[in-house]
Amino acid sequence: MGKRILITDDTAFMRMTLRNVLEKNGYEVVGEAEDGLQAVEMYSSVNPDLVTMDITMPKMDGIEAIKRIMQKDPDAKIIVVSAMGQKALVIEALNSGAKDFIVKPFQPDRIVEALQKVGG
Amino acid sequence: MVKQQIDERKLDILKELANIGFGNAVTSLSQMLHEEKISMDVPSAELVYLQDVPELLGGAELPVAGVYIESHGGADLTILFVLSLDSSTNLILTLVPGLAGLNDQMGISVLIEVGNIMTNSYLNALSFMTGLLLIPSPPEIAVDMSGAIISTVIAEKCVLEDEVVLIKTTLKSMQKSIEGHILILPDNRALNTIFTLLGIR
Repeated sequence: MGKRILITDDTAFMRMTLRNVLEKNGYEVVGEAEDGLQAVEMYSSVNPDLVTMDITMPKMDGIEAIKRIMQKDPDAKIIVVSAMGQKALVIEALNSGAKDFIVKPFQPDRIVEALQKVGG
Repeated sequence: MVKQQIDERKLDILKELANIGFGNAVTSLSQMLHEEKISMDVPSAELVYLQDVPELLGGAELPVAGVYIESHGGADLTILFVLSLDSSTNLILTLVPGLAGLNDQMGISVLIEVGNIMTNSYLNALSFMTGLLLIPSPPEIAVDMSGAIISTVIAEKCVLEDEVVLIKTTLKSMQKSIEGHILILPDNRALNTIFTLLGIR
């Protein structure tokens, strides 16, 4: 049985792309959040094993969402997938609890490898 | 808006920074288009009147699609990726065949995300070179006449009669018939910050 993943990205195209990559690799996409606020809410309602998180989003950014999810669940497994790749923000995301940080554009292998390393 | 104190030397430096920044953006685009070969013009950096910018994009009445982000934090910049409607359609169809181009919500989303990644690639490179933290906004898209887009994008920051520094390149994918421009509009304080950081008076 595949691991259950919550996808977070403000762009429909990126959510579709991630879903395709993940499903092709045996993961089950159990939710799609459009912003950090939805991600935090859905984390509770859907209880995924893994989360992919964008950073630059309206309503609540990814760093804030990571902090709130980690508060709810210190064992949460979140990997960041973002176009924004500046060192200071990468460090902040990792310090907030993200387990990996992937800069777009990405190769599908990189996402799968990151998820497997995190225990998916 | 205060008239820009800028000379050839400073413009040359901006071109050099842009060369690296745009190079990163074009590399990202190429990767997204399955390693498609994309050529890029040598960047230009010049003082222009905002009202003349649409002419540089092919004419104020040319319908175009523009994806843009604003950066805040270390330096305020507007970064805009502009393409003709045909190029937009070709780009969308390269990534997701079968869509109805810009008439498709998913097609619009494709363009937003491509623009987002490219403009962020530029920003990431500039951040790396200057050490500045440049916080991007979520991307916006506008499909309209180029004159209208320029007015909308700039509206809050300055008036059309203003003279600004415009940094620009044109990119082309011959195979896929995709051609576009990337424009950077830094505000005065951003330029002062960057020049100060680089030790230039």
